[in-house]
Amino acid sequence: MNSIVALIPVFPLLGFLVIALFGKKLSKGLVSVIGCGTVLASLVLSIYAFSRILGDLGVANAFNVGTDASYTIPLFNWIHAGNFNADFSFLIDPLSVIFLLIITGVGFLIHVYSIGYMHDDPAFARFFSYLNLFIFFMLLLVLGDNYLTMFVGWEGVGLCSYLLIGFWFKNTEYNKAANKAFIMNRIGDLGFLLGIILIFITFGSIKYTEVFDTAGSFQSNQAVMITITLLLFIGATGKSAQIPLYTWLPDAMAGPTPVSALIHAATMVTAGIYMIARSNILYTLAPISMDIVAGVGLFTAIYAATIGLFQNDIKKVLAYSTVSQLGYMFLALGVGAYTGAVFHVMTHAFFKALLFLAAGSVIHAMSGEQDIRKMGGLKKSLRITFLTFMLGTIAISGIFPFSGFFSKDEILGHAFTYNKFFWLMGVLGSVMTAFYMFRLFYLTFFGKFRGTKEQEHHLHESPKTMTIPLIILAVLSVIGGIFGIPEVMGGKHFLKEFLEPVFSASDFKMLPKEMSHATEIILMAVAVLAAIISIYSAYYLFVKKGNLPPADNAPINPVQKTIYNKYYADEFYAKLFMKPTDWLSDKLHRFVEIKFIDRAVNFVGEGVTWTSAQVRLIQTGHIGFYIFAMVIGVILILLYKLI
Amino acid sequence: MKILYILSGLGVIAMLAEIFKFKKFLLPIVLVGLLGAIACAIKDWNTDIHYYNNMLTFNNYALLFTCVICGTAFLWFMMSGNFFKEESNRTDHYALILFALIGAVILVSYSNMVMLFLGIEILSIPLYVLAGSRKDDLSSNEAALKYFLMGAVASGFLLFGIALLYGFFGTFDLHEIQRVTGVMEEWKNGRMGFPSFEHSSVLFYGGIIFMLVGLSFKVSSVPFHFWAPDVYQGAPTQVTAFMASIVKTAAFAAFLRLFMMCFAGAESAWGNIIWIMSALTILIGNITAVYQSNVKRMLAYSSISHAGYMLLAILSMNEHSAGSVLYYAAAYSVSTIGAFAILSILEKDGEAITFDSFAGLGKRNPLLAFAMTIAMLSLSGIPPLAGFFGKYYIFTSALQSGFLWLVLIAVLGSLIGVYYYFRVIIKMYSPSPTLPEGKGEDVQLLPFWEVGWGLKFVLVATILLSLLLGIFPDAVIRLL
Amino acid sequence: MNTAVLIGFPLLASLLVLFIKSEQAKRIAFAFSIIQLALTVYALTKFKINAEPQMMVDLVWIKSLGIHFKVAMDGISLLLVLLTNVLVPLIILSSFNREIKNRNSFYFLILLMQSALVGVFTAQDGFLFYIFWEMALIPIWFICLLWGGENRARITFKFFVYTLAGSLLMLVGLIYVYLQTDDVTLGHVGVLRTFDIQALYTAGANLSLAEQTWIFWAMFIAFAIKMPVFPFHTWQPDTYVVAPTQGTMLLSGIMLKMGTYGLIRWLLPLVPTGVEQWGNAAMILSIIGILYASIIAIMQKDFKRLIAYSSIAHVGLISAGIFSLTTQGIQGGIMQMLAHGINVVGLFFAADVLFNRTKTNEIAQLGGIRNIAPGFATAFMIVLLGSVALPLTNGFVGEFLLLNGIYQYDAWMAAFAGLTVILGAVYMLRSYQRTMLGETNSLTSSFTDLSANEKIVFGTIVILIIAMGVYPKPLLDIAEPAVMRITELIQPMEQL
Repeated sequence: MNSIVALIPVFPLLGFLVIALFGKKLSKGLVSVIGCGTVLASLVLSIYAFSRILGDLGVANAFNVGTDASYTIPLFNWIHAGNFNADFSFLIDPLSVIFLLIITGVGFLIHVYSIGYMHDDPAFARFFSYLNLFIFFMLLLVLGDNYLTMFVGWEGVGLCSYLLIGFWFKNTEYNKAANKAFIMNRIGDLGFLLGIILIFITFGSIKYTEVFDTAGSFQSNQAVMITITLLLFIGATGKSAQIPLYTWLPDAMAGPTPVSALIHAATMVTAGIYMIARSNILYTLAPISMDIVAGVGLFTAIYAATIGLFQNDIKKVLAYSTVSQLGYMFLALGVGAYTGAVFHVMTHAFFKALLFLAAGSVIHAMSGEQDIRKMGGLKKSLRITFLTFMLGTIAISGIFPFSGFFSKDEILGHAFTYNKFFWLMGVLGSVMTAFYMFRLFYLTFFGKFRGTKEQEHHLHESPKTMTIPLIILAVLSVIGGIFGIPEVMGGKHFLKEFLEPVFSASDFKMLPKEMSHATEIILMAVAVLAAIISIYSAYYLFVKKGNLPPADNAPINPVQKTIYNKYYADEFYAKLFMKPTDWLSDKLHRFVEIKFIDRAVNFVGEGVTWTSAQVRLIQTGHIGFYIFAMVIGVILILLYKLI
Repeated sequence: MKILYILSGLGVIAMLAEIFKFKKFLLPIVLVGLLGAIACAIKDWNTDIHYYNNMLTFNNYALLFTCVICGTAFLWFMMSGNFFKEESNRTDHYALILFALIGAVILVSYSNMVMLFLGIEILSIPLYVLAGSRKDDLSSNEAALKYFLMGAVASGFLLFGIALLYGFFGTFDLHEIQRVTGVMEEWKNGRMGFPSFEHSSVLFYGGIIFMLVGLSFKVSSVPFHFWAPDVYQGAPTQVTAFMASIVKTAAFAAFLRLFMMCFAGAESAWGNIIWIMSALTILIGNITAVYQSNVKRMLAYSSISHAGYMLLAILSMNEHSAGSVLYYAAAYSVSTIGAFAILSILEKDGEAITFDSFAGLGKRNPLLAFAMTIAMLSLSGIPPLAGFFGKYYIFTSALQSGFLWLVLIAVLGSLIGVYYYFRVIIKMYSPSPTLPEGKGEDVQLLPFWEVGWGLKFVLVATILLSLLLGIFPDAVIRLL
Repeated sequence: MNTAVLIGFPLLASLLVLFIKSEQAKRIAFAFSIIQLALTVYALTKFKINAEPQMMVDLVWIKSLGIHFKVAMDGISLLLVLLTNVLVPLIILSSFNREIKNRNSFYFLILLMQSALVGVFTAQDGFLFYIFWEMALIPIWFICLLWGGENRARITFKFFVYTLAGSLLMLVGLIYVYLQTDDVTLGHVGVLRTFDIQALYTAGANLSLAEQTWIFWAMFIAFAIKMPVFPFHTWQPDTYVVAPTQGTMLLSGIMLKMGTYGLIRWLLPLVPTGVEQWGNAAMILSIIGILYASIIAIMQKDFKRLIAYSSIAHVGLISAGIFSLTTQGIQGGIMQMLAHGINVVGLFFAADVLFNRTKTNEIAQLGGIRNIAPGFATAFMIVLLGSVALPLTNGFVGEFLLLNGIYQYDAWMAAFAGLTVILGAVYMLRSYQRTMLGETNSLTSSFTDLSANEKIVFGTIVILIIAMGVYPKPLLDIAEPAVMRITELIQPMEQL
């Protein structure tokens, strides 16, 4: 492939550098042009790369020959020590191309959206420089041809996330949220890092191709393989906000809404899925780890969904729904539906980005208000936002024929073949999803306006730069499903064929559990039906009866209270980790350091002085004593020698 | 031998100076004389001459130590300008010092135990007088008396030891004794018939031990060190300087000469004793010094501890011993003279010099402070100064003879040493109550030009010597 | 070009500077340090990448004891010399618009120390190494004593005696090995010994386990105190706080590396069996140190003290990596020495800037500085990222290789050592947030952004941080052959 593709991440980097260095001098217009332009350039190149890969696959199919349809673009040798070697080089293959498209595509739309959303912010330039930097690192993450390059992007996006969550750095709460995000990610990153090292020790390389080739010769469920996969998974839980490392994501909503859309919904948080999908062969060889991944994913999906049911902050609801959807993706990975996972990443990127941006538009219109209890009846004044939000909501609820349906259905289907119980739970989760999403939707757009007067007459639809991305994303969320229409509907699963070279090895290793088309249809029907029922119940509660979520001080039953307070997870962590660490730090310093070690050291010095004070007393000054001492000395020596 | 003539000649001249009224030229004459002496020593290099049928032997060992002694004496006369200025009957002091020097030279060149005893007495008696030379000062008189009394006891021991050894060997001549002890080991194995050995060994051991005691007193090693602090503190600073540098050098030269020549073979007789004495000297010397507030007394203890290190060199008894003692003595004398020179500048009539007298010296007179710093660093054995290499060389030869533990004790000792030497430096350079920091200008300065030219010379010389000796030690040690 | 020049020039320069009483002293001192840097770069260009010590100067110094003035540079030495000579100009520059009494002696001492440091890193003779080792200690002690903060006398004295105690132990160890050597190069009468490093290696390797054991500990403690490694570290935080900033930079940026360098050059190959036997213990100490220091750092109130503890943690990781005896570990150790040198100087300079404006390093009293000093905030942030080892900063390369090496030695040790990745982020981000972010207060409201020379210092540091992070290959390549040779020397006996 033309090595011009190597420029994909370079454009955003340049954008970052230019804006960061000269941002103050440049006009907002110019900044937005640079900011969006660079990403657009990357998008174009990504499409080019995509087409090339597509072409290759087409050729391969036509002549019915195998192809891995992957290209390595070597850049330079990064770290080399002894037999360890890490190159800086890019891998273009179906999987990375898909992610390239998602990142640059959605990324571009969100950049455009940000022009309008951030227009009045004094730090406009800084915002765009950070966004570009993020795109750069994200592209690096998916482009790297070895684990260490992935790790570079991995931590890089973590940094950008930190910078953007704390974008309004005068607010200490936001800064705390930013620190929390960075540190929790760091916990995961340590796992990832150790995983990489173990990969190097086991396979003698960290290059995907070499690792996976060697891995083929391993037996299933070897201890080392399980360790590696679990270490990597720890990294994934951090970045993709899975239990137990999820609590940073809801707080991350402190950042500007486009950030929540881009980083904390569409792209960065899916890095964990990319990582596992990329290492699919390793996981396939460690079924135990697969079970753990599936279990954690499923549990997170349900757990987050329940929290979502009672949140009143529009962005918090979306945040928990993100956590829950990510859970679905891990479930997919766990049950071996790698394609399904990637598929869901894609559709989720569409509709969750859409939802966040629409929410942003709402917040924009409500001049900063995020509490849905103070909204309502916005459908009149915000037509486009309303419609797009609705489409997004339907999509995420998995209603046929919206994109969400297809991806979720594929996951649930595999879950069913893998383990009936998983499937049941999955459906339960999607029921809850449908409920809280529509709860959110109804409370925001239906009923009568509950905000203040000046908010009301200030209500306005957002500018074009914001609405156009909404529309495009809405379209994608509706039709996104066509990339993966299952055979049962007579479609040919495009994504499956496209990703085939990446996952074939695993698919080959996993004995496929086929199920009849009848069952498949039934499953779909059940899922959709359940969703529709819960949508109706939401409608009944919040539109028909016009219920409102209770006010903060209103008395509510303990269960609801617990869930409303996110099961007190933050408080729990604080008690379990932060407090003890601080306590230990303080005690170690005061007692061990000062009172023990340092005192021991000083004691030696004091000891000398003390001894000196004693010894000097021998020097009485009485000559008699001196001579006496001499004589004693002599006698002692004589005794010692002569007897 | 010429050296002895020159020195005694100088002594006589000094006494005549009083009568013929050329006091003012006395110092130059003496200095020239000393240089002459050194010249002779250099001229006689490698001529192993014996005098008075082996009473004295000026071999290289003797000549080198003579040079060190005369050189030190030269510096000493340079620094002692005020000593002679202030005191009334100065010519007597000149004479006494010069006679003491004669004793010192004899001590480094004797090859007969009688001469050893003579040397020690010639060296000591003038010092007894000089220690008390500040007649109106009580402590000075006390010092003189203590020194004399204890010195007398020590001489007694020494004499007794000599007598015993005569009883055993039937000779005073070191070379004779050397020949006998050389084959001593073989008697032990009974290969050579020496009937009287077994029951007369008491004479032998006793003799060695008593001589050891006598000499240990002179080099002030524990437990025969008690006189040193009191005498050093009481005596006039210049006299103390003389005792700390020249007397110690001479005494050690004598000590080593005797043991290397005669008793090297019989290490079993005295090895452990010196081991213990050296350890005690290093520890007690250093530890006691820590507590002192009077700098002169502190230096007294420090000189005790240095005696400990040199004992270590004697103990190790190998090809490096002579060299290391020589080098150490030289390095130590240079620094000591420097330190005492500065003390003599700082001390205002009679009042004791405490650490506080050094406060802010860094501001008042940078050069004095610098010289003192160098002296202290050298004494505490910090590279690249002479003091460091001295210690290093001694440690090496001791380790070579396998005294690991003793070396570790010595290391510990020199660590403690740092404690009090650096107190001086810290005092000089850190703010003090008397000299509030930042008010550098209204501090009463002690300008350089107020320091006598002799002292100037001494300071510069000590700085240069400690550096040069430290950086080019080979120049000295390869001579022995 | 030979190594002696790099030692001689600063020495000469220091003496010249001593006689410039005017304010000009600073400019001239800076000029000299730049020339020194130029010389070093020239040496770099002349350097051939192989394991051989190059640009050797070998003069007989103390013939009768087989002591030589023998200095040369292999890759490891060269890198550390480079570090020294890059940092010293920055350190001098950092002092330009600070209030410093009699500057001439200040810079005299700094340059003197520079000379000694270069000597330490290039000495090929045990005795010479020790001399330079001590000579480096004296100037820094005077810098701390003369320009330090309150009750400096006590603290700096403790620091001095503590380190000296270590060095003397090392001296005894060195002499002991020296006495086992057998010099064939100058077999003149009487003396058959030499301090030549190769001879010492051979002699040391042939010692019995008991001898190697005590020599190992004697020398390890010496280096451990210098670095410092837990539990020999208590002199360090006080000293770093009380010393003038430039002194702290010298101590933490360069002098600390004497210890880690000593491990690589003067401990591992000297007593391989001892290392094999006791390396584990040393490693455990280092790792305890990492956790201990990182945890303590979290609650520190004084920013300088916080950096001090973070430095203990970093150096613990370095020494653990070195004791893993793997190529990755030692390579990482060297990379981390360079990275830490640059980062810690940056951090202390940040502390200095804060103190210079606000007259305090109390984290709690600061805040909101980013609003009014964006330039400083950005520079500070990048330095901080370097020290928390974010990829593409210099900190990462070293830290990754170190953990890699440690993992090969023992997985659990790597896991514990790795916690520094998390804890480091905790205390660094916390302190950054409290000092720089939030709203300004009365103390910080008048905070002025970086001055010209401060810009240069930070600019250089930032560039180095990123450049070394993105393209560390040249440095790694320089070190590689020398490291390989070391690892060959310490192969356990049975493997040979």
